Amino acid sequence: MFLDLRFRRALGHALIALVALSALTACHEEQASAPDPTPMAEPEPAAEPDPEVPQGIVASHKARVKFKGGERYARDLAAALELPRDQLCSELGLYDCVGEVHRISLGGVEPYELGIDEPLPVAPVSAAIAVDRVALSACTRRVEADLADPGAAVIFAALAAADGPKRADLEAIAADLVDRVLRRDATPAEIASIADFYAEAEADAESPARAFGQLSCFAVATMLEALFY
Amino acid sequence: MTHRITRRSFIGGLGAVGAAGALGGLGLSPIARAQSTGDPRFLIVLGAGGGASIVDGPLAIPASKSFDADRLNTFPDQMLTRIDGAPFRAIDMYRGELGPIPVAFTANQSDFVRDHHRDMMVATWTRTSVNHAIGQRRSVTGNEAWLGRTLQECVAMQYGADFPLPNVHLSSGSSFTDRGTDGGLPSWCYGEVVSDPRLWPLALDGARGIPGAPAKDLLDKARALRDANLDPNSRFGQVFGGSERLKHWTRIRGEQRRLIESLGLIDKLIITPEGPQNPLAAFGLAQSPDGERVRAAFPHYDEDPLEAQAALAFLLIKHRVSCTVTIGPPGSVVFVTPEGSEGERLADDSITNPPIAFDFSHQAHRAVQGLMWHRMYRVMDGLIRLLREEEFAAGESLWDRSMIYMATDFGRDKKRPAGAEDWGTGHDLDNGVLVVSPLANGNRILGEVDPDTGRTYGFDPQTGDPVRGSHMDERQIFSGILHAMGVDTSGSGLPDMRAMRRHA
Repeated sequence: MFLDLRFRRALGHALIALVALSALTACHEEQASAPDPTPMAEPEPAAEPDPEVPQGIVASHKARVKFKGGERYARDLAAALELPRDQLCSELGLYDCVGEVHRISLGGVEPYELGIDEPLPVAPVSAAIAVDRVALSACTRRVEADLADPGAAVIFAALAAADGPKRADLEAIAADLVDRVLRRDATPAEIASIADFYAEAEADAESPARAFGQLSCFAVATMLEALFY
Repeated sequence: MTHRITRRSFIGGLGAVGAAGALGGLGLSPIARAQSTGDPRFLIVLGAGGGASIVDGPLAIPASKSFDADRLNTFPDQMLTRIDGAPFRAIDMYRGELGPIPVAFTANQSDFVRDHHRDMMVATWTRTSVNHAIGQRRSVTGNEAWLGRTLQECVAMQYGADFPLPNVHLSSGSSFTDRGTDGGLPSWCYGEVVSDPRLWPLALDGARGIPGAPAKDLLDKARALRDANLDPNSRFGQVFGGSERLKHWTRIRGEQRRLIESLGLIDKLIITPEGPQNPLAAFGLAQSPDGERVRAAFPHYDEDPLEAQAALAFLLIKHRVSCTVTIGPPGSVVFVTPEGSEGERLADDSITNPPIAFDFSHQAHRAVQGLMWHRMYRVMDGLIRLLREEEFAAGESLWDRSMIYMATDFGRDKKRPAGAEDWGTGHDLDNGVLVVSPLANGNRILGEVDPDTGRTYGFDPQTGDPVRGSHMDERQIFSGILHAMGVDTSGSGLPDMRAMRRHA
């Protein structure tokens, strides 16, 4: 009778453990198929390795990146282009793009009036367009300032040359943009691709040098690498 | 209900087994969007935050009908207006103060009921939480009745494939705009947040309104350089290319941006006229051609966030940008400048929104409910009139295909200190819901209120006849709204609520 009781208890414990294990397994499976719940500013779950990554580069098994958010992006861009932060971008010349108009889209919060005290869980469609506006506005300001006073130019002095920039000038600008915005050396391929864009500007713009400055800056400043870390 | 196997039900079914999240992640949503929905309907969720008490609106109880009139939230008979041919009650009032706030106001419900009773439907329900956030969320998910999807997501899924931003949330700070828990829906079903309706349209084009911006063709070539060359060939792109977050960004800056920019929406959606604080012309922009009409419907759009939201909500529907929009009063006090007051503070009718909206009933139930129901009705009236003026097709107006669902957290206490003319109330599970729509079973009260307790009782889901002792739950009302909207709920297990829709 005593042994029988012990056996029953042991059996009971084993059953409880089995039920608990199956519950944990079910819970794990549920989590595995659940959507990404992490806010824009939080690290995201690990991604599957990409089999299409070329040899020589090891794709991250985690691939966890974070969006910089509007304010950090604006400060980085202002520093890269040597523009005052408050001159980076303003809508209608009155409202700061990052701090006011596109603040929430770009992962900011505004708890006092709007009641938004956490960044949006997923970037809205307007976020990508807002980034384009910020970058285009900032790059335009940099180019215009440099062309207006080439002697004090920060990046685009060579574009003011009366006979137009030389290939070496374009390549130097490309390397400088990557260095300033992405804080690394440009690859030869990147330098060539950006410098090649001058041909597009020549074909389509009345002022190719100005357009090249604006849009080479824009292309680099809106790269994923400039927005995420 | 017709049970069709559609692309949506296919994806919805996949979501149920947890596989569609992977599809969305792989970027199949553009394929889904390619299908046409030529028969859209439009859902406007008006989030009445803080507890809109149904017995202070269309189910108000006349004192003469109650055995306990002095201690229940009943109204002197002379305060109730009966509208010919309508089952609803309406309260008109003038009060010298809004609880502790010394501001006089006039509130009118009868005009709205008189004009719109044929499209009004009230259904009683018993809620499951008196917590604000939970109650709000359950008012749009039916207490997670269908995989945790919100009503807005369901409508976007059904009708939104052709819309650039199917589901737009113009209000914030509440759980009426929570994201649902079904991650298997295409990404475009989830709400796009608008924080300032007056300036948000500027975020619908990457270059317009920027001084010195290059020609669009050349800008697109720069984007192509970035998207097809610089990003994919960068070490960062190759190492972290598996990130879902980067894939999502690539999607929204690609196809979705192109679709939105192609529609030229800035000039269609700006509601504020040219002025010193809105120098549109200097930036090559213009206000919406409908601006004057919209501002006439919502004259306080510049001071009152709810009116600004409603104005943009109409334009989003009119221009087929969205098939569902969510609006709602803010949680802070709103001062406006009534005509003739010259901006003096605390002039009569100068407060349109008390602090914490309906929830200021904790301080002054009768005054706050009166003011807020008046406010809700006025905004709904503006939307209905604007939508009625727009033809959808073949003589049918946009309003004929629209629904306004006045969502709320919960009800309020039914009792009051004996004979009190104003008092504070707490939260209560018992309430009813107001839907205004030609698609709903209009001019009907489904269920009723017991005048001796102030509490509601339910109805027969097929006939709508009141059934004493029964109660409707959140799942049933959720289902009834979806079915009235024509949403295909095949496979969801949601109950048929025939009584809530006008057509079979």
